[in-house]
Amino acid sequence: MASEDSKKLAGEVDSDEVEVISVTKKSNTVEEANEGPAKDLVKSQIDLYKDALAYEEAEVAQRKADADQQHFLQTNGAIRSIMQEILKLKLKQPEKCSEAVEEQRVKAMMLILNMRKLSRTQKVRVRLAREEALDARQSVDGVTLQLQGLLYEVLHLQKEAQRCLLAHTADKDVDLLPVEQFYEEAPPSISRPDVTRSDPHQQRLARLHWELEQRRGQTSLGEQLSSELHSVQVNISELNTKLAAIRPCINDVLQSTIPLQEALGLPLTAMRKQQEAAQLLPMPLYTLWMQCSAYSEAGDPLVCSMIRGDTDAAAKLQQQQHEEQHKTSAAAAAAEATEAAPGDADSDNDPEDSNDVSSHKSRDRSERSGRGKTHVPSSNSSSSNAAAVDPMQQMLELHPLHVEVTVSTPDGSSVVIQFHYAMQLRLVTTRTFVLAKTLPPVPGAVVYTDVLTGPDFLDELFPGDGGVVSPNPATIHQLRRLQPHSAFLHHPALIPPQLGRAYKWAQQLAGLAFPALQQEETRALKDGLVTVAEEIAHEGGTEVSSERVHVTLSALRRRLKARLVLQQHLLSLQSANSTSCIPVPSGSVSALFPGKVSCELVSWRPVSWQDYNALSATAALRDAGLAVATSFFFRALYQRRHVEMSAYVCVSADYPNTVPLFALDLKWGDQPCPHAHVQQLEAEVNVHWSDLLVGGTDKAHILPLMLYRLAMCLDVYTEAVSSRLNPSDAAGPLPDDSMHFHKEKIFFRSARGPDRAFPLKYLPKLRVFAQR
Amino acid sequence: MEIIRSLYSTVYCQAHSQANGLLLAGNNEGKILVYNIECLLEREEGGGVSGERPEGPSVAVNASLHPVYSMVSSPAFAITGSSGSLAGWRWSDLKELDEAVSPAWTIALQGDQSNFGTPEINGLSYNAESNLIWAACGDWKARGYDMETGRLISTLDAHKDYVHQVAVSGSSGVVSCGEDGAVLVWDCRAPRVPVMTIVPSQQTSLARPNLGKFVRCVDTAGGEWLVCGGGPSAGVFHLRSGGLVATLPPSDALTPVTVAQFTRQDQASSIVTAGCDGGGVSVCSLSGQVTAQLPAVARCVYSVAASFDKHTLMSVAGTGSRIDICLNLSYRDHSLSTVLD
Repeated sequence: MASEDSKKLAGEVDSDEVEVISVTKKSNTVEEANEGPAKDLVKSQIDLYKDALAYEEAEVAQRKADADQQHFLQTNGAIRSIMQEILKLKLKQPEKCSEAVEEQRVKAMMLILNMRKLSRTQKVRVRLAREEALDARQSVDGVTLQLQGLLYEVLHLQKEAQRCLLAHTADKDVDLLPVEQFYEEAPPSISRPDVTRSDPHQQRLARLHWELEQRRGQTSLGEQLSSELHSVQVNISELNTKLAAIRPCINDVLQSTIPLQEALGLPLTAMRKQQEAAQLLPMPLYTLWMQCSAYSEAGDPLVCSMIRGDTDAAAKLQQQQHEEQHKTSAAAAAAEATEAAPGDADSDNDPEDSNDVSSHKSRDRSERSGRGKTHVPSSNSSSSNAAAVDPMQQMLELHPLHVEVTVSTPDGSSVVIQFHYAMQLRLVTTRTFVLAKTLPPVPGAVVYTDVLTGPDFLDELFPGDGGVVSPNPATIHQLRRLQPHSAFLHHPALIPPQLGRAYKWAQQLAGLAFPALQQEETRALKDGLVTVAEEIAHEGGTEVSSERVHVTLSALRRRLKARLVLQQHLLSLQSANSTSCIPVPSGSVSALFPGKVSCELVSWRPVSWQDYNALSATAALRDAGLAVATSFFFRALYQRRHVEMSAYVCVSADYPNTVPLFALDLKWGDQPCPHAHVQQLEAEVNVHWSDLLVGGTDKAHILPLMLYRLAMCLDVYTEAVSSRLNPSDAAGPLPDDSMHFHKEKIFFRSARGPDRAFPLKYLPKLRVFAQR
Repeated sequence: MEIIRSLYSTVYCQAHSQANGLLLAGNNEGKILVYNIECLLEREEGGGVSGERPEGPSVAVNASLHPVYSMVSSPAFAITGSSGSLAGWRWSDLKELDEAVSPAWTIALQGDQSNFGTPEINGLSYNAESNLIWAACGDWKARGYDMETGRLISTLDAHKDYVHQVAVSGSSGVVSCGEDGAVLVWDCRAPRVPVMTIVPSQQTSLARPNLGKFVRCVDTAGGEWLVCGGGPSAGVFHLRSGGLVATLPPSDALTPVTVAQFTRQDQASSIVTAGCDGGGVSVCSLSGQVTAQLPAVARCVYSVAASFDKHTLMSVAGTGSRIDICLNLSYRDHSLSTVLD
């Protein structure tokens, strides 16, 4: 466009040039005619001016600027030379020069005119150049504007393209069937394989279409099903109301069958009640009850476990705990409860909040029992009472329900163990009763020592399990908090006696595991269990079973049997006034002892631990830690004329597995016997007791055997001492006959070895006594 | 059970070998307890022990089914006496501290067993000059065996009850004491009859009729002096004349003497006596002056062994499960356990 314009311009210039040439001719004529008549001077003046302008413009176009430059310089030079000429002239002949100067001045004037002409031409040229520059700038501006418009357009288009590229439709979020499956399942009307196979877009559209169809179908199906559900629910609620109406009827029927059940000996109702009560048990007792009943059902009908106690109180307590839990953790717990409710059986194994297992469990239970049983309306009376009672009392509070396990022996005696749960202390405690059936009543006898009814009946059932120190490491802190100034500070946490005993085996039966304070303790417990298991297996002739319930219950039964035998022995001993009263099994007497025993067991009395502790004779056993306070202590007094022997017997709680220990105090008249002699007699029973268990004698008879043996040892001792002092015994009666004992037992040597040992060992085959 | 056993255990005899750094103790269970006492023989300036004292036996060797009643040491062997046999244990074998060590030799007693059962050996004595070992036997006899051949050289048969102990004096002198209350002095070159008979229970200053007349222990020193004790109080006799020189503790009327011996065989410098009932050990001079009264853990002391090869070492044992160790004849230093860990 610009070029066209310039061409046009050039064209105009050309036409102008033509005009200018003509004008130039005219102006030449005009200049020539200027000297002519001036009639049409004004008219021609205007024309002339215009013509001159046109002519000069034409001239400008014709002439070259460089040539003009050259021309100007020449003119300038010429003027300068004329000026010099004039100056020369003036200097040479100042008077005569005027003509020459005039001539020169004319020349100069002409040259100046020429210069003016050039100047005009120059001005025209400058104007033209400016006009041209302006035109050019205007065209450049137009082009720039156009360019910017185009650029903006490009940018916009690019943006649009980008948006198109990035655009994504909702169909991508829809899960579609895989292509193969789509072709298999969709009807051809939708799938249109002929079209869609080749065109992915059409294919996708078709698949989306099919998806839509399917979803519609499913929505309608869902609606249909929910309406069905509703109708079923209505049906169920109808049935429920009917069932509720039947319930009182059934209750009446059940009530009326109770006499019949009793008459027939069917424990159906009782069992059901037990099952109901089991729902209210705290978790440890529930575990214990389950284990024991499972064990009795599995093959030991002599074990019986019952739940006893106040079920109403237990239900109240549970309700209360339930509410408390809801109060404390309102929203979160509620959410959890609704989650847990459908699968409450699983939540038993829930590893979370193991600290608070019991309350967790009870919540489950309450929901479970809520279906089968109507709840007693909750009252806050018990909680307000609890706030009022002594904190110690509260700490020691037991759960209202307890489990009663009865372990019987085949001959009808049984031990009843009540397992209680101390809710605050988180311990299972036991109370024990023995129901002995075979004990023959001793007429008129006062029972001095009752090894059956004491609270310590089950002490040391397993080694080191006294039941007095709490197995829960937390107990000591709980008790200290309540009684900061009490003796708990320096002693292990003792279980208050009103709770009963907290044996470790009971905790284990109840599934309560406490971290043992020391590694060795756990190992010792385990070893103890294994040893007891082996012993029981050995006694019962069965295989070794390490199963805890079996071992524990067998140990209980073993303890019961042992204690029954012991009690019988003690009963006959307490009324004993001669050695023949010692209840030695008849088979052992002939095998172990010679026929006659001369010294007499004069009395048998229990001794308190304090008294036992005060005796110098027992110091060695006490210092060695062999005689401990939990044992039973007795004093057996033997006499043979003026020789008197007091045997202080320590019968361990674990008797007969731990054999009794004897400490002797021997007096010959008024004189105490030498310690070396007493030691020999003591060693005979304390160390060599196993000699007494020949031919499979039950270890339960060890106490009377030991007592009888001691009597025999005293016989031999007295006779040996006499024969030492008077070796010529055989010669005849001596003057101090009252102080002397005839040699009735047969022994060859009254002393042997550096320690002058007495012949205390009996050799039944030879029927003689000899040294070891 | 182990605790009860240890309560009623008894050490009857001991032997030292300072050359081998061993202390042996024979107990009622037929075991020889072997103690490593090297560290007790490295003494400081003042006589104390610098290192750690041993706690218990290094090893317990099963020597016999019967109690080990007596023990004596020769340079090469430790000789133990039990029921019916003598056994010689090489010190070098024992030094290995191995439980399975077996005796280098054994000698069975040839005795009439019908009356007594197996006779026990209550005391042993070794005569280095003649290389004879003398055994005090339960069948009323004392026997002398040649250590080289193990043959029975002579039998001393004059006691009327079992023989408690024998002691040697010079190359041929032998002294025996027994349950019958007699102390017999023999010349083994003429073993048929004793050279001299001393009956302490007939000495009015010694007799304690309530305790009996048995003589539990006898010892000689310097070829001239004899000490004995038992039911009668302990007393020092002049060997050649048989005269009572001094009466020794324990002097109360109720304590039978279980140990009365010279600390050294070669010179009658000091005498150790001990009783049966908790009185500890008395160290006396020949004249009966008590120079030291040492307490003992054992209520009834059955054995005191003393040796002076490198340093003074005395050990006291008896009933119970501890052996007392003295580093001189004046003080008890510490006690060892007889229970093997």
